[in-house]
Amino acid sequence: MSMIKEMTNQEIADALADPARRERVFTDIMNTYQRQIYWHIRRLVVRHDDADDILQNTFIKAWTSSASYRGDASITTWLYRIATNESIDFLNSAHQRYSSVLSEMDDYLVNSFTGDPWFDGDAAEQKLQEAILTLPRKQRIVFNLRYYDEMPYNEMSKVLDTTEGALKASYHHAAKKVEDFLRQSVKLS
Amino acid sequence: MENASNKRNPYRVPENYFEDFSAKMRQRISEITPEPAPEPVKPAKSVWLYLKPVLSVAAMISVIYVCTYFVVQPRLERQNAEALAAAEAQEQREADLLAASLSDEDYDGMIDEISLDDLYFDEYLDDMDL
Repeated sequence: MSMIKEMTNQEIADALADPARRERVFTDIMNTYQRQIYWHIRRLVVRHDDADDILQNTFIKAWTSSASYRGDASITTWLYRIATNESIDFLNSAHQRYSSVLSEMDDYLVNSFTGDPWFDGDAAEQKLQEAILTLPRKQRIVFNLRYYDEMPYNEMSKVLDTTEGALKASYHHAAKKVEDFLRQSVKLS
Repeated sequence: MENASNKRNPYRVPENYFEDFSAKMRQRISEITPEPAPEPVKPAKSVWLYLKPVLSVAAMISVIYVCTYFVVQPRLERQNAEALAAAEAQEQREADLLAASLSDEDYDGMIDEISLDDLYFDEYLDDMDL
């Protein structure tokens, strides 16, 4: 039973600031949120091995800076923010590594799941993932957070440091693009 | 939970991945000492804090000066002018009363005295070669 879900943000912050309680509370945080954070990362970077590395980095960074968590945002917002930044850093460095070989970063990502043993979606699901991967990076993050995690826009605003209005517009555009891509795929097939 | 909406997730993870992940991370964090909480930043004392009382006094003096120059002084001048006019009017009234009480002979005597004074003054000037 997770005690984190019964604590307020301030109580969590106080516990993380207390050396006697910090490790126990942080372990509870990891156990409670690791799956949710993992899937957020995985949908961005596609490959399991990359998602695993980034998830570890996320929790290491969260642990290292745990004493500076002040409770002004929820613990999930805090973790999502770290995970998103780590994922973006990974995609940036991967883009630099592979751009000389592949014309687009999304080619790399699409190729990642078409041959990945940890992807078992059918043809329709593969098309949906391809559609999402054609989105510009920020739009893809917004789409995933809204579509899969059903994150409220006010929380998303804190994760991505963007206004709610801009996020709503971004999601609207992203959903339209995904829909157009899928319609086009159906026409061509 | 793979996602809040439980939408179909085409991705998979190796068996026992999350259980093994927890154990692995507990080991890793036990070896890392978290950074201390950052000290709250104290605002630096600026020169403004020292200048503020001086500038306040200067501002107060300026206000007093402006009030004096534009309000108090004109009022005093007006009062002085009124007092002077009142005094001149009183002198005139007294002169008028005196004039009314003097006869023609008294006037003639006064004029002769004035002429004599002028005469004596001219002789003085001649003595001085001026």
